[in-house]
Order: sequence, then structure tokens, then C-alpha cells
Amino acid sequence: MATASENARARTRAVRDAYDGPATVSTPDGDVAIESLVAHDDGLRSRVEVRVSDAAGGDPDFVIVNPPTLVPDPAGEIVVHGVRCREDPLAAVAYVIASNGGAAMKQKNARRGIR
Amino acid sequence: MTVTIVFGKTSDGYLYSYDASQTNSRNGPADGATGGNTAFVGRNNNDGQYATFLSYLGYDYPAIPASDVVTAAAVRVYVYNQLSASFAQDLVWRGFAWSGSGLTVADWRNPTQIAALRHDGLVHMLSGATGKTVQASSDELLAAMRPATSMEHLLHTNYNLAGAAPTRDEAIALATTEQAGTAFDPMLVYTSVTRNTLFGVLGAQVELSDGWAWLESNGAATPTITLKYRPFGSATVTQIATIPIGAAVNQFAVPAGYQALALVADPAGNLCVLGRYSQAENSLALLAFQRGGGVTWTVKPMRSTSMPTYGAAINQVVALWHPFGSGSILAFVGHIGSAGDSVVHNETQHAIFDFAPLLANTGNGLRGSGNSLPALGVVAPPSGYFNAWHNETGTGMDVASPSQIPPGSADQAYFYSFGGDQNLGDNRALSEGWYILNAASTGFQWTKTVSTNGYGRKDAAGKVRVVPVSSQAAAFISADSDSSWGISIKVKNHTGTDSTLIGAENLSGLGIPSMPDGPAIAQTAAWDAVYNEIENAIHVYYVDAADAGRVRRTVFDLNTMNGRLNETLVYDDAGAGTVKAIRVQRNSGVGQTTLVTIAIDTAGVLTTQYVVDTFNIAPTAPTLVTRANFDAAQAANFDWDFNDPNGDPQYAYQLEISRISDEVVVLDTGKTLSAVSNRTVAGNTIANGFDYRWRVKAWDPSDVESPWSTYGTFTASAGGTVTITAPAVNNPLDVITDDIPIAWSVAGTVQAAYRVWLYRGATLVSDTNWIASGATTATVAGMLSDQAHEIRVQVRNAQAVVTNIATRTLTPSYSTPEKPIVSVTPQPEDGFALVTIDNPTPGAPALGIPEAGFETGVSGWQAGPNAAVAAEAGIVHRGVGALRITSTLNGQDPVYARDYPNQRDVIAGQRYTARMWVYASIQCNVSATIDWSTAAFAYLSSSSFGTLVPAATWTQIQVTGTAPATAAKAVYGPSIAGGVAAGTYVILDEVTLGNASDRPETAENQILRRIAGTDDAFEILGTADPDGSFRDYTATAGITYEYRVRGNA
Repeated sequence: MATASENARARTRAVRDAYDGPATVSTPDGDVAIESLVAHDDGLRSRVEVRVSDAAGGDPDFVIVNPPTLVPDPAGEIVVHGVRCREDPLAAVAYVIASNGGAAMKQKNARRGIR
Repeated sequence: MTVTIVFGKTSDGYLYSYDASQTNSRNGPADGATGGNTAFVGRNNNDGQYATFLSYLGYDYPAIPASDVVTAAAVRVYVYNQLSASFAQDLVWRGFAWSGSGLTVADWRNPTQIAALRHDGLVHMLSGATGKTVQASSDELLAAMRPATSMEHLLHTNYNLAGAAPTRDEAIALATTEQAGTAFDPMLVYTSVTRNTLFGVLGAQVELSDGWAWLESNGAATPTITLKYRPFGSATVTQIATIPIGAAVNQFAVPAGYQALALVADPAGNLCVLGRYSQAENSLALLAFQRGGGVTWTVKPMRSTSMPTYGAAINQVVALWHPFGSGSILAFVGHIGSAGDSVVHNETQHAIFDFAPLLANTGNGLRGSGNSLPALGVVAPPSGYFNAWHNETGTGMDVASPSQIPPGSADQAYFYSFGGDQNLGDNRALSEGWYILNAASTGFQWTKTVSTNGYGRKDAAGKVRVVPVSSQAAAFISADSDSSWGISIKVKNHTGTDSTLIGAENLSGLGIPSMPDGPAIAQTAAWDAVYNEIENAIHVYYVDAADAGRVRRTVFDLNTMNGRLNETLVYDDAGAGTVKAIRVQRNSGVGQTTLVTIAIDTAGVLTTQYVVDTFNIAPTAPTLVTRANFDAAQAANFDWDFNDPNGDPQYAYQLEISRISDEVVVLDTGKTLSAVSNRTVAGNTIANGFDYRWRVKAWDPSDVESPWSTYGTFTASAGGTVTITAPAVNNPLDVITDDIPIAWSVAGTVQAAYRVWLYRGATLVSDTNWIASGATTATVAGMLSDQAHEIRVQVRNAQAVVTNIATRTLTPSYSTPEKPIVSVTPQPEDGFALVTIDNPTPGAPALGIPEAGFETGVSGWQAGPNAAVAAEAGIVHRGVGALRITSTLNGQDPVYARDYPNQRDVIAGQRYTARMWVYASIQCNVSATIDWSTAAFAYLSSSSFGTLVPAATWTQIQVTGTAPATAAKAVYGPSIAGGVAAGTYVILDEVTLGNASDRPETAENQILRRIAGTDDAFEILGTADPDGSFRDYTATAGITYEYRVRGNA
């Protein structure tokens, strides 16, 4: 079993390798438009800072500590809690953000009608 | 602020304890520890063996700065299976530092031990939670977040501690942290805000009838908060009281959110502070201050009441004074997600108090309290979640009443809040309600939500406002984190049981350069809004996107339902400070100003700035200056006075002119940016022969327009011309009196009145004003001798349209004659005294020298510098010769010539006149000049008089002057002034120097006499004979007489 430090480094590397610039990721809770993503670890935990808004400067919108790397996928080969998953570190970050209200407004508007 | 999501450690898991005795099973010790993907919580009964399951979760998270307050935190787990059909139990999180790096059986805790652990959260009645994420929180969890950087929990159910023995499986399976990790892993979610001087008191400011009252914090972790007052028009601040903050009895709890303390005021200026009571986290405390005379308040005992928050800690309070009854207070409270919270327990709570018992110290005045269902409570949790909360951030809630703008209903209230279906960081439609109190004013008999809500991000610093804008309408204002929205304003009219959206705007979409975009404004408390009743507009104050030390103001116009592009600078820190929060009053204003409170953070030094911002008042209708009728062929000026109650200058205007007969607009300038309050309309813009009306409206610098002015009227008709016919030329020589008859002719119009002015230089001597008459003659009087005058004549027709102004210049000469020279010689033999008068003949050539006619040449005449003289035979005034004087240099001033070899003898003190005829090649100013010199030909001074001589026209010019005291010689001639071009010439003829023409005739001299040495009056004896003598036969021998002679010109 990997140590906490090894696990943190592995997750950080996985997310960093998966991100190569701004991207929009589809999730069950809407599209997440990732404007910027920074992943690093402090030897104990992995830390991913994500901005989903287009504002320059300031604090990130979300900080995810020890981010997941698996997302549900019926075709996935990894089964967790009865759910088939695939390894997709960037999508896993997007899923977390979407489930916390960070999906793009356009899609939410479509769901809720005109504001 | 940032939302931080911390996933659990992979060392998490669960412990189990088997025993035939349920009690032993609860007490342990554990029989084993299990990691993997699943942890169980609960118990079961398997063939007489009782099992108890406890789960253990842990998190490591980044250090939270000491300057930050954690305003919201929650723990979440994913329930992926229930081992019973209905798991109707509560799931409880306890703070417990198990061996986080490796779970062991030693971490088992019996029910007594568990009950003593910190209570970090509870989810009530987990039935139905399968396949969902559940979350929990508590005030204790928030308190434990800092300074720790790790959080560990023991999870159990209520049946793990007590209750009858199970007859079946009563456990749930939680997803625990995978080695790879999934979104099902346990989570710790939190957000924080950097503390500043408005933290805890963000809504605690009210406007009284004579000033403002507010709560002021020093921003410390356990802050000192004071209640203060400042009157309108003064910077003097009175501290009313220090608000008790702490953990003791009769103290408010340390603020747990931006809006932890509220302040209300009644019309008499009585105040009440509301906040969480220190002794019970779900109790609301009220501290009333009764206003006495002047600036004095008396504090009343603190009162409290429990709020139905299901045990959750109150973290924010918004409140307002209501006029129903004898005066009441309506308060809403928000709370952190906590024990008892579940899908049906996520609403905010309200309470209604009578104010009088608080002031009279007879109780808390509670009329009733309850939750905000159904308006705000029935909302679905976020997708995939089992429960949610409205206001766990401690901000994002506001209440207002139409009664704040009379005659708005006294029993209604608007409410605006973050939604229960929002997770932290979620930008979503907010919860909005409209309440009508029941008859007893103990609760609400009717509530309503509307379909079109503004959006806002559930954020630790997020803010929402509801601002009444009329007796029936309110503006719901939020900060939408969508970059194209930002500050979102929705104005809704409420009538009967219905409401209608009547206006909306998203300020970030307007392109105001200094306005932060949606993502930025949605994560800060550095904006606020107030209704300006004078202007019928909402003022929105915000931090400048380009300079965090500046506060600006923009305007949403309720007349047009549009935002303006204003970005008025309200405050400039001019330093390294950052504006962290902005606050204005929560009740409606009564004056023309508002107090803007600004929290500044300068490298960790927290200060508060106060700015009195003056509302703009719309300009009133301009006042037109009467426009006289005029000739439309000429330019005409239209003048008005800009009127603005604020004293603002004019920013723009619009002038409209239309014909009265058919109302056709003949001129519309449109909106013209100009601070000048008049407009010149060019000639021939409109036509003569019509009656017109005109009006003006104007704008102030805030781009607020005035009403149209009343109409002014005028007639445009041909003005014609006037010409002065007498005198026929300028500067006639025969004006020897102080008055002169004049005449004029009129063409192109019919004279109905005339007006004559007399000017001496720039001085107005006389003005006839308009004389209704067709006469074309008048007499102008009041001229002074030897001074230039101008006569002006103007005529107007029956429509009062004026002609040009005709002018004529002239210089009269009628000065007092010189004193005659008299001598008296007794003639005893003949019996009379001979009085002899010696006077030169008026106008006679001086000393007998004849005029210079240049008939035989120009000998003796010399030119001045850069000029030449020559005999002229072609152009002469009389005879066959003349003198030509030509400029030889451009710009030479003057050009002149004199007969220097033939200096004339003159007598000091006597007056002489030089006359000459001149003919100029161009129109120019030619002065007749006498140059005075001593007997030794030393130049002394000159006497000169200029005349504008027309081109190629013989013109006589003259000058009269007195020989100065030491003068004995004189030369004379013309001088061309003005710096004429080379080649310009003047021809001179018939040049004379004579005695002044105003000298008295000798024969007209009066002889006067009296006895010498007496005060007797002089007696006129008679006039002199033509030879200049007088014989006094009446003189008596032996008496000495005094004689005087008085000349009459």
C-alpha cells in the first residue's frame, strides 16, 4: 500500500499530466469550464487549485485537497461501490466542481429556465 | 472566497464489536478493524450475535490564516447502501483523534465516551439517503477548523448509544477513500472570510430622522463593537454604547458571520441590536436603546428568546422595524447546518416582537416565531444530495418592508436569501419571498415566491439586498457570478396576491469600466445598494475593479429601468489599502444623503472610513430668458437659466423651436453636450414672417434630465436698415454746442419706435429707450466740448424687430473763452477811465502767417522718419499745388511732415487751432497735430486730434490746443497713424495755424466794475467798443475801482 506522501504525489502528478490548458468537461451536473488549474503537493497532501470563472487574479474558485482520479463510466473496468469507473483525473476534478455548483451557468439556465 | 474541498485519508475505515450482549457489543472492545472501500455505521442482530459498527474518517487540510474566520464548514459522506429497508436513524459525526495513520481496535469508544466527544454534525432520519451524499455541520466543527490542519471523526448512529436491541440489520455502508479516489470519498468542505471591521455588523446601519446610527467593530477575533450616532450635516460622532460581546450572561456571542448583528430603529430614534445570545446558540438576543432628548439613549436589559432552528447555531440576523401595532420588530435568522438538519429542516426562521415591552423593560415582546415555510423552505437539495441549508455562510440574507416607503402596507415584508438548493460556491437562483402578516401579527398568513429570481453565489462574503422602491415595489439585488451579469437587479411590483417583474438589469453587462465582473463581485462584500427616492433610482456602491482602494457609485434608474454608465468616485484610499466591505443603511433614507461605511484592510491594519454621499437631485425645468422678436436673417441668441437643486452645473441641453401656427418643429438641437446655457441660432435657420415658440430641457452631470421648460414665444420678421442722414458725415466741424439735431432714414421696414444712444468713448451718456413714434428726427444733448462722441440710432417695427444700429461720430467745440487782457488808464482831463481790452481776433492766422497753399512749392517742409515729401500738382484742394507725404516703410507710425524752418511764434497759455485739408490714398486715421517748442526750438509736447479719413476724399481736419507754459514756437501738420504700408500717402493743402476759433470777439466783452477793497458785487457797465476800448464816465474821483472783463464767444 502506498504511503500518504506517495499517494499525494501520485494524485498530483495524475491531475497535472491530465491538464494541458483551459478545457470544458461534461459532467452529469453540467459542463465545467476550467479556466486554470494548478496542481501541487506538500509531501502530505495533493492540492489542486481551480478557477472556473474568467476573472483575472484573486483567489481560486475551488481548492480540492486529495482530489479523486476515478469517474463513473459504464464501460470502465474499475468497480467501486458497485459503480463502474474509469481513471480520468481531470474529469474527476470536474465532477467534484460540478457537484458543488461550479458547472457553467448556461447549462444551469437551461435547466431552470430564464432567470 | 474560495471553497475548499478536502477528501479523506486512505487510512479511514471502521471498527466492529460482536457480542451476545447488546450492551457489551456497544461497549466493546472492538473485535477488528477494516479498511478498504467501505465503512459501516450502525448495528445488527445475526442469530443472537449483536454487532456494533463505528466508522472513522480523517482529513488533512491547508492551514487557515489567523486573520480568517471559517464561516461555513460541512462534512459529507456518500451512503451507497443501507443494510435495512428503512434506516430511520440519525447519523452523527464526533470529533475524535483516532490513530489517523492507521485505525486500531484501541480506537473503539463506548457510548459514554462517545457522548462526551465534540459534536461535529448530525443528519436526521437517514431513510431515503441511499445513493446520495449527506452532509452535516455544527458550530463546534467550525470552531475546531482553525488552528488545526487535520480533522478526524468517529461516526455513529443514535442507536449506537441507546435504544432497544435490534431485530435486524440496521447499518449503512459509507464510501471511504479509495487509493485512486472517487467523488464518493468522504469530504470536508469549508469556506472562510478574511476578518475586517464590517465582519459581524455588515447589516447594522440605519438612518434616523436626524442622522445615522450604526455598529462599529474593530475587526478583532473577539471584537469590540460600539453603537454610534452621527447627525446629518456634521462629522461629530457620538458613541452611544459598547455592545457586550463574549461568552458571559447578557452578552451577544462572538460574531460567526458577516451579518451576525442587526440594528433596527423606530421613527422616534429608539434602537435595538439583535444577535445570537451567548448562552444558547439557537437563541436570539435583543438589546434596546431608548432615545431621550437630543443625543442620548438609555440602554435596556438584554432579552432573549429561543428560535426554532432545530438546535442549530444562529450565524446571521436581519431585521427591520414594522409600523403595525404599537411598533414591532421583524427578524429573520440564518443558521449553520447543524444537528437536526435534514431535507425537511433547511429553512430560515423568523420572529416578531413588540418594541414597546423591550423599551419598557417588561419582557422580550415576542409575538410569535416560526420557520419560513413554505416560501423558502421547500426547495430540493442539490443534485445527488440528501439535505441542504439556506444560509450556512452567515451572510446572503436581507429583509425589507413596503412600509418603509409610505403608504406601503404595514403588514408585509420582502425576503431575499441564498437558496437551500445551493452548495457552497454554487451560483444559482436565490430564494425570494413576500410575506403578509396574519391578523394577530404573530406569523404569516400568506407567502409567495416568484418565478424570476436573481442569481447569486453562495459565498462566505456574498451578499444579497432587497430594497423597497415604492409603496408596492422592491428591488431584489444580488451578485451573480456569471461574468456577463454581476450585480443583478430585479424590480418587482406586488399587488394583491400577485407580483410582476417590472424591470431588470445586470450591471456587469453594461460595460461600466470600473465595475468588477460577475466572478469578482459575487465573492466580496464590497458592494451595497440604497434607494434614492429623490431621484427614483438605486445607487449601487462598489469597489473599483482597477483600484481596490476606491469605491465608486453607479445608478439604476427606476424611471427607465435601465442602469446608467455612471461610475462616480465616492472614496479613494490613495494608499495601499484594500476595500473589503461596503455598507449603507438597511432602512429607507429620509434625507438627501447617505452614509457609506467602508472597511479597509491595509496590510492587516483594519480601519473604517465613512463617506457622506449626496444624492443627486434632478434639475428642474430651465427658466427661459425672454427672446425678443428678431430678423431671422440675422443670428439670434436663445438664453435660459439652468436650475438644479443640488447646484450642479449644466451638462447638456436640448433646444426646440416650432411654428405656433402648425406646430411644425423647425429646429431641434437634440441632446447637446454643453455647460453653456444659451444657443446662437444662425441667420436664415428659420424663416421670417411667422410666430414661433421655443423650449429647453437640460441634463446635469449625472445625466439626469430636467422637464421641458414652459414655452417662450417670439416673432421673426424683416428688420430693415436705418441710416443717419444728419449729420451726414462723421466729425462735422461746425458743432459748437453741446447738443445737435439729428435725422435718419429707414428702409426695409416700417418704423414703429426708435431709440437713440449717446456714448462718450465707452461711457453711455444718454439713452432714450424705445420711443413709440414714427418721427425720424431727434436732438441729442449732453456732449462735452473737445471730446469724441458717438450717436447711435436704432429703429424697430410693430413686431419689435429691430434694424441695425446706425452710428455717427462727432466732437463739439464750445469751450469757455480765454480771459481777455485788460488795462485801465484814468483820463482825468476827459473825465473817464479808459478800459482797454487786448484780444486776438478769433480764428485769425496766428501772428499774421498766411496759410500754406503750396502754390509756389513746398520749401521748408520736411518729412519725418521713413517718409518722403514732394510737391503735388495733380491732386490739389485749391489752386495748383499741394504737398504729398508718402510712407517709405511698412508699419511706420506715425508718418508725418512739418515746416520746421518756419516755426511759428506762439504765446504760452493761449489757444491755437491748426486746420488743414488732407487726401489719403487709403482710408486711414490722420491726426491734425501742433508740436509745441521753446524759443530755443526744444520740443515740449503736441496737441493732436485724429480723424478717420476716407480714401481718396478731401477731408478737413483740425486740432485746437493751448500752448504750454514755456512754449514760444510751434510747427503743425498731419500725422498718419496705424502703421500704414509703404507707399501709402496723404496729400496736404491749405494748412493754417490761427487763433483758436472760440476766442471772444472783443466787441462782445463785458466790462464789470466795483469799488476796490469791498465785497460789493461787480456791476456790468457795458461791452467793449469794436476797437477794444470802453470809456467809464461814471467813475468818481478819489475812489479806487476794480475792473473785470468777461469774454463771450
